[in-house]
Parts: sequence; structure tokens; C-alpha cells
Amino acid sequence: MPQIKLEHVVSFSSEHKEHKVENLLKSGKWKCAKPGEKQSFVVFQFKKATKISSIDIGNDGSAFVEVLVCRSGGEEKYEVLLLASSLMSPLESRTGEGANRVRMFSREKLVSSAAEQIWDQVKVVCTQPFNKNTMYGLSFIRFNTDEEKPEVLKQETQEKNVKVEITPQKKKVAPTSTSKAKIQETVIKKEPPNDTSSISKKLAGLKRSAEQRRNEGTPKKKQTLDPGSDLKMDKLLKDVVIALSGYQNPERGNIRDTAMKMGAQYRKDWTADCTHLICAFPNTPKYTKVIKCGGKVVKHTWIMDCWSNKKLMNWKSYSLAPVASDDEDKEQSNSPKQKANNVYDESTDAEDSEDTDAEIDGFLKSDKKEKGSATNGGNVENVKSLPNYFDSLGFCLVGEFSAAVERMLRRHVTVFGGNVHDSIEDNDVTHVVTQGGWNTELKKRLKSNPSLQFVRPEWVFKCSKSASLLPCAAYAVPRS
Amino acid sequence: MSKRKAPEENINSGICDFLIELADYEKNVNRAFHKSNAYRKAASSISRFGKEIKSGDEARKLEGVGAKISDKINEFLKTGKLEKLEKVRKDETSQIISLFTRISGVGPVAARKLMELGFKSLEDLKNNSEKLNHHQNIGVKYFDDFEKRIPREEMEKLEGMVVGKVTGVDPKFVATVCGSYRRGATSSGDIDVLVTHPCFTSETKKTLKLNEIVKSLGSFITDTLSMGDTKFMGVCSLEGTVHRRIDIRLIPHDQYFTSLLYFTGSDIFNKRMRTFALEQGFTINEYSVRPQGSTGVPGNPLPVTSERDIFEIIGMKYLEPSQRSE
Repeated sequence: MPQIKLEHVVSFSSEHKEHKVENLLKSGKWKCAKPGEKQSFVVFQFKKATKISSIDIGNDGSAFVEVLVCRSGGEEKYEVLLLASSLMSPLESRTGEGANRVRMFSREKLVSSAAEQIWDQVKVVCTQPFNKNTMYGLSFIRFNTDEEKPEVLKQETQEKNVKVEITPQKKKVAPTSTSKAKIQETVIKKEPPNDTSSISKKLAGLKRSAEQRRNEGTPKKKQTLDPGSDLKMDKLLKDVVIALSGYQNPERGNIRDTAMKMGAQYRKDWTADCTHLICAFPNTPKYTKVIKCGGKVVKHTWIMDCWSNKKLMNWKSYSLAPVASDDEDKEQSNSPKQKANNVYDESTDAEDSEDTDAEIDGFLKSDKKEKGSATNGGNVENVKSLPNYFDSLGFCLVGEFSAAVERMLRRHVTVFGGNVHDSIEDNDVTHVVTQGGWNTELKKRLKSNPSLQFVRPEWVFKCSKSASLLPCAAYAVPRS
Repeated sequence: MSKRKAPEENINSGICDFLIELADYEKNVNRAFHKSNAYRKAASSISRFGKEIKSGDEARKLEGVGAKISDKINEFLKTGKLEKLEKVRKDETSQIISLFTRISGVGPVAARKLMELGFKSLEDLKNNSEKLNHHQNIGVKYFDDFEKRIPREEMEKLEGMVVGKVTGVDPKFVATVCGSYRRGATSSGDIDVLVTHPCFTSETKKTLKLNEIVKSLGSFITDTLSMGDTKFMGVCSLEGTVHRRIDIRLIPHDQYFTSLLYFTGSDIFNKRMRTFALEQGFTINEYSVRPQGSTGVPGNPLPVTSERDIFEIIGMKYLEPSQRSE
């Protein structure tokens, strides 16, 4: 039964400083701020109005839980979906025994008049009248639906179809410049579907840069300074997801519409998939929140200039927050990984493309957010926090890659302790990364070095995503 | 609620009696239930007072005693009677209605209706049995018997008899005699038996045969007033002596303890306990104890395995049945 995605937290009563309410959107617990609160609640927003067919609740010290539903924007009158139900007895509440019980409430347990309808907001109310000395909350809450096609699933199937179409092409021949774009798609899409949103974002970014190069027909390392000019306007901000702060209508609507005309997506509030916060002035609550989680905060002029110049402007010039803190800009500093960085720096310098830079920034940013640590070795402060799971591994990139993919690969490898070698003959090479098929050259190399691994680029990305060295087998180049 | 409340013996009996009489009058004749309850509540707190009340002002400090009742107490203490009550006692309508409401199966509405049909005495009713339903006819038939209190000694015999027979049908049956008897009263107005079986819950809805239980009691049961799936009302008699009113209820196991609490009473104690529960965010009735939701919608029934659990949930000190008289 598909789980309904919780978009964001609309409101809540209080939160513990370690057990924030946002945790419930991910996989952490939420507790109220002070012991003995009479009642604590949290209101969630669904992406769209959905029928709720069952609820799974993981307790964390609450005696009772109640779930109410409403449709936002209307009268906002809450109806009860799950009657106040017991999670712990008075005795358990006092002793703390069984505080983490999980209860699953199936359709029959829900108030049928409310379970028949679709809702986009849920309010979860917890109480703990039996123990006034405890902070209580929930360890998780899941809403399930049996509606046929939730949005996420739809996207997945579409992507699968694309993949099926192009697979034969990929197998037949080594990549040529015309089929490259498609192959990139395949590469990215082969990642497991559970993080579709970030994947599709990456996909969009890569696709675009591939498209650009194809259109322009320029050599790999020379992109034009205004890469956006050839793009259709409605795709200019295609991989951008914005939220707004500090603007009032009609300006707010204007910014939003302009951004959406260029293909950006809009969120009512800052969500995990947002890329830019369009903000009127610093230090709004949203501003603080976004800065804290490492998001980009720009003035609305970024959107407007993109629109009027018909190209993607570098967001950094419009940033509300000081961008200097960005590690990417400090690459030249005396880093212990100077050698590795040189490799990367060369490519960056050669490419001098603001557009791609911004893209990659977005990439690394999102990675950074997930890992909760900086990605670049350039900043000394961050070095110690970086896991070196590629330590003592040697990589060689064989065959053709798009500039973006190659750069991503080099970055990920070097940043996490690996070395990139230019020649496959190098004895230090342990992993050969290629998008191409099995060929005689690779076969020859394997003979002289039987421990050599031949992997697809996504293995590197997967490793850095999970921050560990994953087994190669699933990403190995098929030997035919 | 039984019609035959035990007259309470206490130092302020005089005051309590006239308040109860006023309460009955308001309920039966005027159908003013709230007024009636106000008098009863005042009577209840005065009977608990323990010291002799010497003035209305003194009584006024007690819960449920306001300006008007304290005036009446003053009048009663000064003159030894109450003008309002004297008037009521003289009024023929209220006399007849009061009499008729003492019949089992006749409430304030039926009593007034019978009076309006022109009946004035039990004799009239006996001669016009077609105007009465089955229950009311039996009420008239055993009028004197039903007025008699049941001494505790007899209650104990009745209890032993009923419990023995019921568990004879299935040893897993649990039968308890509730009401004032369970609270330790020296005499009772009727017999109220709750029966449950561990296999019978509100979810299984497996209908146990109540009539089998009743049948097992044999000739002990002399008349049947009504018989449903879960509730039997009838008349019983131990060795052909005085006839007594008996109710037997079949209660789902998960509701047994809330029912036990409810039918043990007293009704004034029940009201007090429910009010307290509401203040703590719970709602109690004879079927369940439920948490109050944030919008006031009661939640799902809480699991309860004893009367003690209910007190614990609402955060009230446990009271033995004998302590639940007020």
C-alpha cells in the first residue's frame, strides 16, 4: 500500500530541541518541549488531497493519539479520522514500559465518513495525562493510501519505459556523440527508484548540459558563456524548485508565475526538494531555516533577470547570504589533497561556465545536505569530517563521458580519498569507470591485472550517497 | 434507578425526607427533573453532613443548597412543616400521580395519563387491566410486595441462589448482584444481577442465550415483565414468600466493569465520578471509558480489566463499593 508523502509541517504545538518535529518527515522522533504538556499536536500537509486508507503510528511515550483531517484553504474545520486511541496504559505511562509500541490502524479502525473522503491536511494530537514528568511524542507516523497511482509511482513507470526503449541501443555499440545524451539518462535512471526526486533533478540537470553540448557541437571542455540562450525559455529553470519568503501579492504571484513559466517548480514552504529560496530580505524565519540546511537564498531579481536576459544567471550574484563561505570557491587554498584538487581545478577552470557551475553546486549541495557534511576537501575545517571510503583506490575513466558526469566523477572520487589516473595502464588503477560496453582493450587489461573492477559511473555516485564503499557487483560492466 | 430508595437514617432525616418528598413531587407530578435532582442533591449532601443542622444558613454552606432550599429548611425548622408540601399533599392530582408512580412500570407520564382517564385508586386500575400493559398489571398485582424492602439477609440468599444457578449453566459465567446491596446496604429495593462470560464481548456479538439462564432459575422466577437478548426483567420469589423485582443483564466481557460501576451506583456517586472524569478528559458511561478527543469527540474505548482500572484512568482514588453511597 503506497505511503502518502508528507510535504511539510504546517504547524505544531511545541518541539524538543533534539527531537524536532521535522524529524517526522524523515525518520526521527518528535517530542514535545516540556514535560507534562497537556496536549501536543502537529499538522502535516500532503502534496495533494488523498484518501487515507490506513495509519501506522510508532509511539514515543504518548498515552493517546488522535488524528484529524481537513482540506486546507476551506473552512479548515477538522474532522476526526482516528478517534483518540490508547497507545499506553496508565501503568505503562508511569513506568515507561512499552513506550515505543507501534499500532497500525486499518481502514475499519478509522471513522468511515472521514475515510471515504480525500484530505490534504492531517492533524495528529497526542496526550499523556498519566505522567506529567515526561516529554512525549511519536517515533514515526505513516499515512497509507490505496489509491491507484500516487504521483511518485507515475514518474517511476514513465522513466522505466524510457529505459526499456533505449537499452538495446546502449548494448549494441560504444557510445557515439549522438546517443550520449540518452545513455546519460539511462545511467542516472538505473539508480533505485526510492529517491526519485533527487534523481530526476540530477537527470534534468545532466540532460540539459548534454543537450547544450549537442546543440552547440562544441568540444568537451569549451562551453559557451551563455549556454542558456539556445534553450527554450520554458525549460530554463527546469531543475529549479523555489519557495518564496517575504513577498506579498501581487509581487509574490508575479515572481512565482515568472519562475514557473521558465519551468521552475513552486513549493508553498521550504521542502527537502527545494533548490532556491527567493527571499525579500535576510533573516526571515524561512531564510534562517534554509541557510541552516545549506540551501541557496537569492533575491527575486535572479528570476527576473533570468527572464529578461533569456538565460540562466549565476545565482551567486543574486545571493542574499554571503556566498564566500562556499567551499567550492576556495579550492585554491592549501589543501592536503592538493594533487587531487588540481585534477578537478583544471577542468573547472577550463570550463568557465557559470551555468554548469551553478548546476554542479546544486548537485554537491544536495549531496552535502544528505550527508550533513561538506563535500569538498578544499576547506581545511571540513577535511576531518569527510569519510575516505575511496582511500587507496585508483580510478580510471575510460570511454566518453559528458563534461558534467566526468566532472562529477572526478570530484566524488577525489573528494572521498580516491585518485583519478589518466592512463588505464597505471598500476595503481583498481577501478575502471566506463559507460561503454565490454571491449578488447578492457579484456586485455583484465588479463594483466585480474583484480581490476569495471564499474558504471552510478556506482561512484551510489557510494558517495551512502557514504560507504558499496559492492561493485550490481554496477559492474557486463562482460560479453 | 430503583423507585424504592432506602429512607436514609441520619441526624437530619427530617430535612432530608421533606427534600426527597419535594424531589419526587417535582419529578412525578411536574416532570421537572432538574428541580427534582436539585432537591435530591441537597438531601444527599445534608445527609452526609453528620451534624445537626440548626439553621438554613448553616445548610447553605453545603454543596447543592442554595437560597431557596435554605429558606425552606428555615421554615421547616421553625414551624415543623412546609407550606408548599402541605399544599402538595392536599392536592388530589398530585396524590393520585404520586400513588401511581409507585407502581412498577408506571412513570410520570403514564401516571398522569391514568389519572386523566379518571382512575383514582389501585382498585380502579385492577378493574381496568386492559388499560394497562403487561408490566403495569404485574406492578399493580404485586404493589404491596414491591413496596417492601428486601432485608440484606434475604438478598444474600437470593444472591447465592442466582449465582449458583447461573454458574451451573456454565462455570465460566460470572454473576454479580449490584445496586445498593453491593454497596453494603442493610436493605434493598430490588435485585439487579449482571452476568458476563469471557467468550462474550462486544466484538464477538455471540449471543448467549439469556433465556437459558432465566430458565435455569426455574420456579424461582414467577413472572416475566420483559425479555430481550441481553436484558431480562421479571419477578421472583424465594420459597413462595414475598415477590421481588429482579433484573438480569447480560454484559459483554469488555464492558463488564464499566457496567458493574454503573449499576453499583449510587446514581449520585456516578454523576460525581463522571463529572470528575470529564474534567480529566475522559468520558464514562455504562459501556466504556473513553478519552475525550481534542474536538470533544470521544475516542475509542480503553481496555479495562477491573473497576480499579477505571478509577486509575481518570485519576481518582479507588473507592470500595461501600464508599460509593454519595
